[in-house]
Amino acid sequence: MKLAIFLTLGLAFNALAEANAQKITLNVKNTPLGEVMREFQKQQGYSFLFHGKHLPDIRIDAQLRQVEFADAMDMILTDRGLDWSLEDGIVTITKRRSSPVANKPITMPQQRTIIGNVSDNHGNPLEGVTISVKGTPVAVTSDAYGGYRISIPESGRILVFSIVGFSPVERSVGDLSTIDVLMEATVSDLDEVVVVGYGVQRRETVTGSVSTVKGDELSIAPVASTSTTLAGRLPGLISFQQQGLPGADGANIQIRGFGSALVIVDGVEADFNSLDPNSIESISILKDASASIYGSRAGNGVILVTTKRGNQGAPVFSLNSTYTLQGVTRMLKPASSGQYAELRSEAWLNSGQPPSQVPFTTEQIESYYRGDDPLYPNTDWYNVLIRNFAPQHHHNIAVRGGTDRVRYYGFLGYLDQETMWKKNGGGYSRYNFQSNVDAKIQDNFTIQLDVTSTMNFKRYASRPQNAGEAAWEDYWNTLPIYPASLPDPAKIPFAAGGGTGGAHVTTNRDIYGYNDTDEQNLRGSLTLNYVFKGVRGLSAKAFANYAHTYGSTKNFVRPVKFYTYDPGSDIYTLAGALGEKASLSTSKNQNRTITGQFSLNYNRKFDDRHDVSALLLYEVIDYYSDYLIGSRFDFLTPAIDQLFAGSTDAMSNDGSASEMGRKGVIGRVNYSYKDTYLIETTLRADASAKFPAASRWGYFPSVSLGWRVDKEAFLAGMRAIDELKLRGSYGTSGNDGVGNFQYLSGYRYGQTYVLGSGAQQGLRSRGLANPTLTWEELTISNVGIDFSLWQRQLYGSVEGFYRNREGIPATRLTSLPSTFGASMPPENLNSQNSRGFELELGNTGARGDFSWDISGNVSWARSKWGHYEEPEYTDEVQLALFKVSGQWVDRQIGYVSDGLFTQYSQIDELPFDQDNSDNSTLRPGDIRYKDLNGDGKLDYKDQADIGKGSMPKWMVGLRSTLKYKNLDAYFLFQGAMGYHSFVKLDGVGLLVPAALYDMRWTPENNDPNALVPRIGGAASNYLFSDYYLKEAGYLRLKVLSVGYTLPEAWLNTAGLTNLRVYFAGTNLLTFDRLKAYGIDPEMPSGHGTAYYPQQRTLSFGLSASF
Amino acid sequence: MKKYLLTCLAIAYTLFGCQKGVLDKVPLNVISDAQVWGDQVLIDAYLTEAYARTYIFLNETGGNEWDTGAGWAAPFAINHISDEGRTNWTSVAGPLGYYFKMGGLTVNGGLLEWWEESYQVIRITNEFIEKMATASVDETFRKQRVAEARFIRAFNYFAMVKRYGGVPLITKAQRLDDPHEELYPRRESEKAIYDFILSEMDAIVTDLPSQATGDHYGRPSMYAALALKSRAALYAASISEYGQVQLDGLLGIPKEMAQGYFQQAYEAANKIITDNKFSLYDEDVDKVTNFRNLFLKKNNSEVIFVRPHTFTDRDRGGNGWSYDFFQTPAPNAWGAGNVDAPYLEMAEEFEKIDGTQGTLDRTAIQQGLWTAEALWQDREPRFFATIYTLNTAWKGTRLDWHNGLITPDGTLLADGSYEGVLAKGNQQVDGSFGTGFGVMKYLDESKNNLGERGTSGTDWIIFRYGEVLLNFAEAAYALGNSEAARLTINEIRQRAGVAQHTSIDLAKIKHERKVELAYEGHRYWDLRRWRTAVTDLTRGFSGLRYILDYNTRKYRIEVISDIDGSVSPPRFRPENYYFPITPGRIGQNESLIPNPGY
Repeated sequence: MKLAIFLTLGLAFNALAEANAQKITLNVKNTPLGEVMREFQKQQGYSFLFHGKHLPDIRIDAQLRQVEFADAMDMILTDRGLDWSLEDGIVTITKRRSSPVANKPITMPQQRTIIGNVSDNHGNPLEGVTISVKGTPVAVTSDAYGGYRISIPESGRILVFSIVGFSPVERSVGDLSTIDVLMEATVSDLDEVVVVGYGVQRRETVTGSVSTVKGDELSIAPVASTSTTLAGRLPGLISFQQQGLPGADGANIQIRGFGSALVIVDGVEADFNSLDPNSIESISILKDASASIYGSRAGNGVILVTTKRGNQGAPVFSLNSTYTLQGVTRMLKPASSGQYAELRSEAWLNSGQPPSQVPFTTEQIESYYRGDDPLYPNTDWYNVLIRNFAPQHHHNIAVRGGTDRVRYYGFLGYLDQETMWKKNGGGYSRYNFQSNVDAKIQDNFTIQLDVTSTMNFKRYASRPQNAGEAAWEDYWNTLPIYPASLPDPAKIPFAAGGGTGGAHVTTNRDIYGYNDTDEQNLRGSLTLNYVFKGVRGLSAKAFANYAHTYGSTKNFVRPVKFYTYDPGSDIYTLAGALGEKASLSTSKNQNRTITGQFSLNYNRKFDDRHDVSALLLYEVIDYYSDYLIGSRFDFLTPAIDQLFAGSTDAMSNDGSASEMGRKGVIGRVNYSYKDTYLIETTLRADASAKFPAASRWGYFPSVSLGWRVDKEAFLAGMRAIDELKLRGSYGTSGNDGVGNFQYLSGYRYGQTYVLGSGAQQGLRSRGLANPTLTWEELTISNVGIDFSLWQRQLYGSVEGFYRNREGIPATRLTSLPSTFGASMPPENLNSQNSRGFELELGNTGARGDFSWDISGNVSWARSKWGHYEEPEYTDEVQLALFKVSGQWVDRQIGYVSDGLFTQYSQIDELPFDQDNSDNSTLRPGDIRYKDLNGDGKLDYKDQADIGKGSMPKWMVGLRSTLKYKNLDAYFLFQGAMGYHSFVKLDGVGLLVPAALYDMRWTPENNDPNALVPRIGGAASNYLFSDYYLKEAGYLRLKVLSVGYTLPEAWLNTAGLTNLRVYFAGTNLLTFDRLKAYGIDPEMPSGHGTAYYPQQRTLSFGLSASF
Repeated sequence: MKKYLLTCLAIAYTLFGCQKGVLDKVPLNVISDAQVWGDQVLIDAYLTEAYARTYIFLNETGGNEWDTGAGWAAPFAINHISDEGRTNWTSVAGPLGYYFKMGGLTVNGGLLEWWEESYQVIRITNEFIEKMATASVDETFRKQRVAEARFIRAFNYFAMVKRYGGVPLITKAQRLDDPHEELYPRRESEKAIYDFILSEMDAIVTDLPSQATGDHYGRPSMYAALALKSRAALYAASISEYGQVQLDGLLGIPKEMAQGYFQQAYEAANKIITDNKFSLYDEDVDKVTNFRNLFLKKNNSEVIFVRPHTFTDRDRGGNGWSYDFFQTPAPNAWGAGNVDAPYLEMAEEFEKIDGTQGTLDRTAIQQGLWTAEALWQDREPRFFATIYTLNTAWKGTRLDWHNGLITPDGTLLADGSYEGVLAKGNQQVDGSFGTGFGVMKYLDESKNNLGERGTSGTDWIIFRYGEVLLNFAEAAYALGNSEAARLTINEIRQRAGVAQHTSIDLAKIKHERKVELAYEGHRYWDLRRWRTAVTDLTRGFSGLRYILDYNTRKYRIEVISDIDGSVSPPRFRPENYYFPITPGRIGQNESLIPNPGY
């Protein structure tokens, strides 16, 4: 398949070589730039936009003959401090920031000349960088290859390098004659281009709520899942990484706490989690009306991912290679055998079980503690099973370059991540391939050919390891009182494991078998761009994308027998088995999506003040997926893991398929007056095949307004203000993830039942149809302020939103009781409203060789139920406790505890019946509750609002880039607050964490606030209460990186242009509320001990370009 | 330039040409209404679903996920809440039954629920009955299948009435535009539900074939209808006799009606007996083997109605179940099994072969050394066919249940070994030796228990002739015909291989029922309908510990009292005779009156 991709690329290059481009011929003297460009327009068909009132009036002298368009533009503009760019057939000309306009540098008496090269941190040459001598008016700009030559006046001591989008760099001149400089991109520069729905906009004209992060920042510390890298970096993004299992460690991310967002990668719906962060140019999140353009899928916001593309210049290869050690952040260790035996007996006696049957006698417990008798082993299973550091490799190489006709970007990445299991625990590996090619066939006709391929290989042991899944039960059932190995190495020791023998069996691929998943994603797209010559500013674009995912899983289970062993008599006893013969289940699935877009773009500025752009786009998406599974059992031998090797007696197979389609017509108009008053309106008509023909079209309009206050005359004198923009938006959108084809009734295959000669197939009604079910309807209002003061010494934005979500599908409850016998189909009944705000502040600056960019963000969001379909409670208590409408959606109801009983007298004097048995089951060490309503007994009426759900409401991020000479550092603190976790450390298996032993209440530790009540205590201890539901929250050093760029002099011999070595770490430091429990604060609620813990990573890397 | 414009257009055309019909999609797994009701095969499949979803056919199992999900051991829960035994393999079976047994049943219910699922099955049957009136199918097919649907519906109502008392009686497939009072029905009286079940059985009995064999295997015969009638009528009669009318008859049946229901129970059972199509299984010479085979041999002479199974794992598309996996003694896959731990009191219920009481002298057995043979000598054969314990023969060996070893110097060794003899036998589950007993009934000794779950192919017997005889005896006795009762009980005892009764009383009838039907899902309901659960299930129970003496290879016996714990022993409250309706259901339909006491 890789070969095919290269072939395709080869063909594309050939086609380009043949294309014959129009060349420019021009002879002008003292002609306004505006007129020159009109001439270009005649010759080339491009539209021109001037950003700056006086630009068209700049006078130009030029003599050109058969010059390439780009070269012509460079020749004319560069010396005049102007920049130009070509996007969608529109040439935009802008002032180059802080460079003298329309003036050649003033020539001073020459003292000496310094030459050098300027590049970005990937080694790509930077063109148009202003190099000025501090304290003098002397300045030059770098050429297309990043080169510059500057004459230094006598007084010159320091060179200042600056360009929009990069942090300025200052260098001391000293005796040097050559100064090469590496410039770091700044992240939130207001002048940058941001990706918005179906296009790009300049940050300064954006009126919606759009947050962006550059790909470069995502790859600072190598982690496997892109979603994990977003934490703390985007205001308004709620991110929560709930587990660390390689291949499944993506963070749960929600825009503003909404449901799962639509993810668009390079124009089409796709998974972005397995993209290599190194190949990503930028990620934008659309948080308000700006998402409405995605219509019925946009309701929860949109995440736009854009991969890198080629740029003009010699090919630059960049290599990035890291080796990472991953270790758990926090994971509870199991109790020792002595502790286990003691706790088992303690629980037994505490719960009033017969003392004669106590699981372990005092002598036995002592023997386990001593641990010197082979009859009483003390196995540290944590140490046997889990390693402190699991390796991860991440390597990638990219090439980027191009000419004015062809630009290309190629990427090849490899990731290999092992699991924390010591023995044959498998891992995750991934290959990423990306090829993005832009070719100019004619000056008004370009094509883009993009090919992306991701291959994921997940290699796990057979038992599932996601939170709460079986492997964790095994782990907490693997008892320390059994040895980890037996004298006969062929015999596997029994360690309980809830019947599986133990986690040493079920986490080992070689013993119990494996569960392997291979997944291949292929996306290919072709884009044609045509600029109409007849109508100024009009262009057309056609885009087609074919995405294909092919997956296969193979679950091979081996039979295992396990033994107990008596060292005294050397007797092995068969303790049990896990399956008797091997079995294999293998499945294949594929899904393909074809996306087509055809659009017309119009972009023109009238009268130098009316800037109009418009988009009309038609989109069609076609989905298909199918699935096939086959299984055989009773393998003759476990030596062969192929399907044929199983018995044909009980083989089984199954399959299914589904299809869906969408169409949309999208319109967008942007208008700005004098770049000061901005308005954007969009309308999308959207249809999805899952709804009945008569009602499948929906219409989703939006409008947003912006006011660039800084452009107003009355602020002209305020030099402190770089930018001040007010904006507001109102948008509608939908969420059509609401069940497919509800409008059709009919029957599906149901269950089977043995009748007559054998199993017969049942048919199950799909239930009542609902032809009126439609997408959820959402409206969102947003207001915001963007500002930048004192040359970005302070910049940021503040915004607030309110979203209303109507028509959430729910089953009518009150209208039909269960006696009806069929559940009502889901209808658009429920509603929610959400509110929140975001604040981002930043500061950039430089002092001498030291430069910094620091920014922080805070977000808060929470939702309430508007209407919730529920019984009509009349009882006041039930109203207060159970009525959901009008309440926070994440409200938690439970009992209110009041510490632990510490004396019998407290129980005797308890004025109410807590256990429904006249308190006869209570003992000191049991939880004491509050009889809130004072009715003399504890029942459901005594519950109260005790928590806020498990997704954080508050998110904070604080990040900084620091540079000193060749050293650079980056840190990111990320925090989450305002959520609750159900912290219960026992109950997963027979075994409890060692920490619980110390935390528990005992007569000796008669602490009313012991974290764990009496082991084996009263049944009332298990009520859902605030004793276990704890407010969580954390602040953690999510990323820290320190790098050193080797001086270029050292590199020349190796032919390198840049070499940086760095250390990066994630999750290095954590401050949190639940520390006392010894669990990670991002643990999935209720699974404190039963999940694959988050990982702390230590990476060593180097990146080089040549 | 034109060339590229044309290319553009050509590509656009290709692109959108293949997108035709992009909105004309349908689900690929749905069969339309018209297709189903025009095809006899699909109609039959529709009714099959009603069978499959009447999960309670399998020993009151409330869900279909019992062998893969949370309620794994659901078919055994009914054994764990009665006085027959307790949950032993708690780490897998869960403590649920145990929790409810200790008085944990609250207004929110959760024990053996059969309401929502029940009404769904009832809707299927109602819809089936209505649609069949006009479906163009073979006449015999129509009659028979409609009768089956009515049987299934009545069976579900019976399951509900014995749980909740009177419930809403829905006999048509409701439509959204039906009158409000129909969509929000009131509870009918308990009596009305029983009367409905009885009259339905009368109505269908002639439409059903006399035998459930061949294609009809697994479906109800006319005798299944009569068996359901005899059981339901007996329940109605007991509730009338021993219970109290509450909530204006939503619960309870007036006392004066008891005789009428006993009469119906008597007649229905009598019809099965006199038609002589069934007999007590009695083919094996050895009485123990015989009683075991009764549950293993498919469709034997005693079987009236079963939930059939095949030997293929459900995971493999088959219809096996996990009986052996859960009940077997060690060694088992997963190192467990023995999910039901019979109480010592249940073991003692089995008489000696000569008909004398089986109660052990607890002082005597805890003195000196014993062999298993001496301890259980002269027990009637059903003991050995129903319960396994120390030294029971199993797969060519003897079950080794000893927990502790007395060495020649008199030391009690808890771990390790002495002279090659291990201190503990292998019959442990989760490190515990349980009560010292397990359930042998239904266990298939030829089955390999080191393999997968869900591979037991034994049919679960819902109605068998033995129960019909017990129903008959109980009804006859209540109607004053104690001689008929005595003879019938003796018929059972004759087959069992235990001495005949020379006289009869209600206690003997109840005892016979407890022993004969042990672990078949009857005991809990029997205690409820006799209204004796408050005393019989509010008490402590016991188990045994066997300690091996190295020298003599005999055992020291310890009786473990209060094996469920002394702090909260089993507890059955008067209100537990009916399960709570639950606030959830009442919230949906305020016409439902809650059951008292919760």
